[in-house]
Amino acid sequence: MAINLEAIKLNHDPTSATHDALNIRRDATTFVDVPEWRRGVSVNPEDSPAAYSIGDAGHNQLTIQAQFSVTRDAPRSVDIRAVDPTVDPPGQSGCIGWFLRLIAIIIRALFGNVLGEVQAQTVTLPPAGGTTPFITFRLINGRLGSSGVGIRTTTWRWQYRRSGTSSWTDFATSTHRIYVVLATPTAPWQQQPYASSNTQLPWTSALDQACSWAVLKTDRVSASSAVTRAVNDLGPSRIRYDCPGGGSTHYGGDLTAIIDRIRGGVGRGQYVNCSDCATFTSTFANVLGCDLWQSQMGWGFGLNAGLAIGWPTWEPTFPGGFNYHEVAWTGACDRADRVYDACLEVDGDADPTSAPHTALLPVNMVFGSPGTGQYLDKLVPPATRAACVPQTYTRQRRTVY
Amino acid sequence: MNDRSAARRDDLARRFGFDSWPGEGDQAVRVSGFEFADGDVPGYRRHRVVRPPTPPGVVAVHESVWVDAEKPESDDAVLLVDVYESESHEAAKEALLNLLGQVQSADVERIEGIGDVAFSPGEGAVFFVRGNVAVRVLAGGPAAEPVLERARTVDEGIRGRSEGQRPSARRS
Repeated sequence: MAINLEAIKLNHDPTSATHDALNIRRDATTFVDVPEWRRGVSVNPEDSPAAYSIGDAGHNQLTIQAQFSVTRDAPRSVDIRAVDPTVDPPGQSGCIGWFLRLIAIIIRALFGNVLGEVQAQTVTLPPAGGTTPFITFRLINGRLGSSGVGIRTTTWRWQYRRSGTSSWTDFATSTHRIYVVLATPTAPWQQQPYASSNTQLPWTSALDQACSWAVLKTDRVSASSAVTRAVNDLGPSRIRYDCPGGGSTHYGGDLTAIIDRIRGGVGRGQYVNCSDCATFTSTFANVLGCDLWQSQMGWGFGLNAGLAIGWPTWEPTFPGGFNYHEVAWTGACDRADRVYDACLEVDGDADPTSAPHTALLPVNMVFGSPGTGQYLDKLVPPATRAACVPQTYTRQRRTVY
Repeated sequence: MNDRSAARRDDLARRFGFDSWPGEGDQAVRVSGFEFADGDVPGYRRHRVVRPPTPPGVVAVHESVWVDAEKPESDDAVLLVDVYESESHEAAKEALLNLLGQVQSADVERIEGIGDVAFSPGEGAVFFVRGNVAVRVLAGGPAAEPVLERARTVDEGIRGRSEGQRPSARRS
C-alpha cells in the first residue's frame, strides 16, 4: 500500500478566518495560491505560508483540509493523522539536562509549532491511481490562543494505520511557515475581495518584518509600540530624515521599496520624512491587527530640539519649523488620541524647550492640549503651539504598492 | 474635496503664490503616454519604475529610482524622479501644489530657470511643472545632491517629448 499526501489547504475558507488561516499574498505582485502545500512543490516552510489571527481563531476549533492519493492497492479506509515530530532533548540529568530543557522551551516559545497536531480520522481511500477529495481535519493540542505575535514553523509527520490496528506508519512530512497576528489585519490591508488582483491582501513580506519586530506581543499597544521602535531603529543604517530635501515624502505607500531597503536593497534611497515614517509604522502595525491611522497636524509651527530619525544631534529639525507633521495615530486622530511617532524623538524631561535633553520616542502618547505636558508640548515650543492642531480630516491609510 | 481640505489647498496656494504661477502659453508643452527613457538622467541608470494609484486630475504617476551608472550598488547616489502626467496644465499645477504640501520644511523657495514654475526646499529636492506634467526630483542619498542640474535635464527631456517627440537617447 502506498498513500501520498498530495496537498494541504490551511486557508480553506476564504470567507472567514475564525477556523482557518487568513487570506494573504506574498507581496505586491505574487499571490499565495491555495492549497499552500503541494507534493513535490513545497519543500521548505516558506513554500507553504499561512497567517492566523489570535483574536479571530485563537480559541476556536481550527481545521485544515488535506488531499491524498493511492498508488497501489489499499484498503477501503485507513486512519490518518499528523503529529508534531519535535523531539524533546535527550533526558539528561543534572544541570545540563535542566539547561537543555530550558533552551528547548524558549525555542519552542519563540519559533515552535502553535497549530498543534492533526487529529486522527478515518479516510475512505479511492482505488489505486485515484485521489481523494479535500478532507477536513481538526487540529488538536494547539496553543494559538495563548501565543503572541510571531513567525512559527509547523512540521507535521503524516501517518496512517489500518483500521482496527494500533501501529502507525509514516508516509509524508509537511512543513509550513505560520505567521501569528493579533487580529485580522486592518486597513489598508483587506481580506476581500479574495483575488490575485487584490494587492491589499496582507503580504508575507510585510509579515516577515512586522512579526519579527513585535515578536511575542499579545496586545495592540505593545505591538504598535514595538513596530514604532523598530522603524525608528532603522536609522541611521537604513534610513534617515531628509534634511537635504526639506523633509520631502520619498516613499509614500511604496511598501515594496521600503521592504527592499530594509533588506539591504536600494529601495527609494536613504531619506524619509514624517509621512513616510507614519506610513511604515501604521502599515506594519496594522498587518498585525493593530489599528493606526496616518494623520497630520499643522499648519506652520516651530520645533523644540529633537532627534530626527537617523541623525545624532539635538536640534530643531528645521530652523523655520514644520509646515506640517504626520504621525501614526489612534482613533479620531484628535487631541485625546494617541500618537506613535517613529520619525522624531522628543525631549522627555519636564522642560522640552531647553537642554539637557532626555530622548523619548513618542509611543502611545496622548497628543494633548497646550500646557498639558503631552506630545504637543514635547514637540512644539509655547509660542506656536496654537498653530499645531490635529488636522483630523487628513486621517488616511495609504494604499500600498 | 471637503471644506477643510479645500481650506488646506487654499492655504498652500497662498503660501506658494499659486495665483502668480504662469498659465499655459502659446508654446505649451503637452505630453501624453509618458515613459522614462534610459538617457533621461545622464550618469544614472534606471533601477525601478512603478505606477502607483493616481490622484484626481492626474492621468498617470510614474515613480522612478535611478542609481549611479558607474556604481549601481552605491547607497549614496540614488536619485528619484517622479512624473505626474496630468489632464491639463491647470491639473499639473494642482498636482504640484499637492506635492509641495508633502514637504515638511516651512522654508521652500521658488526658483527660476526650470519648468514653467518651480520650487526647492534645499539641495536635495526640486519640484516643477512643465506643461501638463508635474515633476518631483529628489536625492535619495548625499551623492545625488544637489539635484537642480539633473532636474533641468529631466525638464529638457519632458520638453523633448511634447507634440509626439520621443526623447533622444543619451549615454548614461
